[in-house]
Amino acid sequence: MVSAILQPCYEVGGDGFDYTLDGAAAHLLILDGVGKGLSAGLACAVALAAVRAARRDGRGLYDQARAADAALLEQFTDARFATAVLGELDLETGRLRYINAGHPAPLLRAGRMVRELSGGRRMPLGLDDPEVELAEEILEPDDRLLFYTDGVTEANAGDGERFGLDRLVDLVERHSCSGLPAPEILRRLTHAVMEHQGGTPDDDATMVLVQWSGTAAAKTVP
Amino acid sequence: MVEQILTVTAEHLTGPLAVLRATGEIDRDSIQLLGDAAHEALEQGAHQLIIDLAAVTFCDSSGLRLFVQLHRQTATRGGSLRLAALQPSLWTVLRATNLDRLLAAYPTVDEAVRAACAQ
Repeated sequence: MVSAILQPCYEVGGDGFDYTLDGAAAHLLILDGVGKGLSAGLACAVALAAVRAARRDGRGLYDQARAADAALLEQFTDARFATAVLGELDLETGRLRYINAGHPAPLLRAGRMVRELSGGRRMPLGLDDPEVELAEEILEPDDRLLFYTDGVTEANAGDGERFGLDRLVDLVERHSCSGLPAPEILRRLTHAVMEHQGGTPDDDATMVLVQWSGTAAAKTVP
Repeated sequence: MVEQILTVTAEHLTGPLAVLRATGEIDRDSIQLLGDAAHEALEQGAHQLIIDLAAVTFCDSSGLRLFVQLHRQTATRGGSLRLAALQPSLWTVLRATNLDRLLAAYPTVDEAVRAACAQ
């Protein structure tokens, strides 16, 4: 089961996400266009479209990232780039493969532990980085996987105190034990972030939560 | 009066070498100040650009974007951009985005200057 939420900031933000299920695999993507306003949003849109087109062509994660590099370099002469995580989850085996293009590391909750998936690193999309090795992780049934943008952890309470990774990990741990469905967990996480920052958010905050579980999927059918 | 969150001074401008010293926070509201100073240095013929970040306490993604732009602009002029004296929080940002693979960073301005002169 895949669930996603984008809490937009007041100005035009640069976050985006995409996911598809093609029977054998779930394809996951989260993006954060670097910079401000429309410029960031455009970088995000170009990268997203390039990744999607490459995926539909049947190309793998590495090529999808390289397609985004090429598209951003072709479309813009000034430096535009986007941080991103591209993932592919084999729904039969639970094998997750991913690339992290300068983005906050995804979180995996396996058993009662939450940890960062720190592999597969390359530079942000748009910076023509050919050096990356796909990272791999085997998920167990009921494991949860969270992709997020820095608008979540950087959310500022006004007094300079950031929401922070520790708080996010703590909340994911607590809510995952509650047996709540993914959309409800995301809703609660978003509320926690919004409550923390009080006023108007100054960056998009986006999360994609994946639960690899037959039971969870069955619960979505009314 | 609005408090300046960033100030930039061009410390040294001889021939191809320019050292820009930034003080404060680099974010999307203050970035233009640093960008203008850097582009002015480029226009005056400097293509070995050093940014002294010792007094910079915060740098967001607009700062990273400017660094990448300047990296490219100096490279097309046969020079390079060097970042110097980053505080731990800035190192973290550079590493988290893997941009330490692209951008040259030095512990001190002196070391950056020596590297620039050796190029």
